[in-house]
Amino acid sequence: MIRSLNSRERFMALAVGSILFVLANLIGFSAIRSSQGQRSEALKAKRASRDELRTLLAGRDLWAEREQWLLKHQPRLENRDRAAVALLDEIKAAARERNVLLENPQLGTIEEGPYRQSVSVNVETRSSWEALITLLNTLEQPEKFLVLETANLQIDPSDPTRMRGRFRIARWYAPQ
Amino acid sequence: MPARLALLERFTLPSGDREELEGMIRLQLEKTLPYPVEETAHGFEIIRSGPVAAPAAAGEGEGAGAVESVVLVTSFHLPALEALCEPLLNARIHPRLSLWAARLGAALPADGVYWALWPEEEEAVFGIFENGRLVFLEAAPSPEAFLECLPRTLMSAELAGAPVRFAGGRSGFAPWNGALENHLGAPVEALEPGPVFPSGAPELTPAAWDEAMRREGRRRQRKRTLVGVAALYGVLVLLALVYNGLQSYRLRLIDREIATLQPQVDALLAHQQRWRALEAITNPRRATVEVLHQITRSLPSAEVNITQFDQTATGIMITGEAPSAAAAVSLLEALKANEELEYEFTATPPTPLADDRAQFRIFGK
Repeated sequence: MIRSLNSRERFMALAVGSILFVLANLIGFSAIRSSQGQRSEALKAKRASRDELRTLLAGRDLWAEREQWLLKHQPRLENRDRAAVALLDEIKAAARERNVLLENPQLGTIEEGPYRQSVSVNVETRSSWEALITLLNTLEQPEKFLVLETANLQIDPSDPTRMRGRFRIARWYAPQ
Repeated sequence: MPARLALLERFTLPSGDREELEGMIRLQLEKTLPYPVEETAHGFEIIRSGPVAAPAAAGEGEGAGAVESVVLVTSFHLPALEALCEPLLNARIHPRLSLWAARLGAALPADGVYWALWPEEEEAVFGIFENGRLVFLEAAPSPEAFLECLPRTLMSAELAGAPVRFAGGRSGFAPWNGALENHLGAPVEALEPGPVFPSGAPELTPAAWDEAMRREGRRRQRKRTLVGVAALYGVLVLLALVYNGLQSYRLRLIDREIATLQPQVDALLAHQQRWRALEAITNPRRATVEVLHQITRSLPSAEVNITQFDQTATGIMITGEAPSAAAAVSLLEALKANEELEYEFTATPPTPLADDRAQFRIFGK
């Protein structure tokens, strides 16, 4: 049988209801606020990531051009057996042309890397300073893809007007 | 309220003050009503109020300045009223009450005595109005029954103090208009059915009902306030949820944009990585001939000679002789200041030679 509440019971019910309501609100709103805080942080982080990506992409054209340049100019290794010999011949021809004496040429092995296949030769030179610089300038033109992996230059002890050099010269072919 | 529930009493009371009259009326009703006053609702109208007409036999000064009022009191028996209004009361509606018959007075001329006969709840109700105020009320089962007992009704009216000489009358029973005119001796006009008459009749709402109405009003006000607060609360919660939703939507948009940009950036980074891996070729500043050129440009004087130059994949080493240790340090500073050289230079302390010259060794990484 249902009976209506007296004033004391109504007061108690109201008090308990109010406390429960306040507690539920505290829990609910703190959850909402926490969720908003997390979302705000996530939003901030993602915006930063996106802005970083946009900044990186701002230079997209330049890097595309550079990639095209590499694809166009980096040589491909067609003949692995003759690559080192061909490289030495090329260096010899350039040295002869510039009055640089080559000594003790040694062929290197092919080294594989993620961005290149390196074919190298070791040579020693004897020449004037100007001739050596001219030779190095000729060899280090970017389109030739030749790198002086190591270089050692010193004044020739027997003739201080001349230079002696030891070089490891490599051609960086495109990777397979 | 219908006339059948009303009891009209006419009293002559020795006061002109409404509050005093209210007390006197209550005492009179206790004497005259057939049930306790507490079980009634009543209101009154002052018909006349003025100085007491002193009788000739009375002594001089006795009663001089005294005031008396003729009042008409309308009473209802509360149980009957509550039974009639039960549907409304059950719906927590407490109507304001007045006697419908009393409102008819507002439709009659303001001066003179008029009668009216109208149908009400299958009865014929007869009222006498003096200067627009209801002063007598009598109900009969039908107009015919009313006419039969008209002399007795008029006598009752006279005994109750109501005037019975009429200037005119209003009838809601058109077929009986002729007979009514003959018997009451005054011209009869039709009573317009159903008009809403302006209020002017005494307020008869029971005090308990007034309190209940106030309570109900407060309850409704509280309910409106609660509804308003709940609506505001709901709006706040909704706004919070909408804000959350908006943030989620923005997050999704940014995620989508990142998902679109990421592959392009990955490709770009791959290009960059490849380009930098080939920097010995793609960066002219790294070329040996360029490094040598920048080193010779940095020589502080022609007396500083470089005797040896070594280059490896990790850096360079410059060995030479200078006319003094200070000149060797100057070369180091010049190399560090040269922005075309992409090395960080360090040096061992210069080694003094026999002829005051100094041998230096500088490292670049």
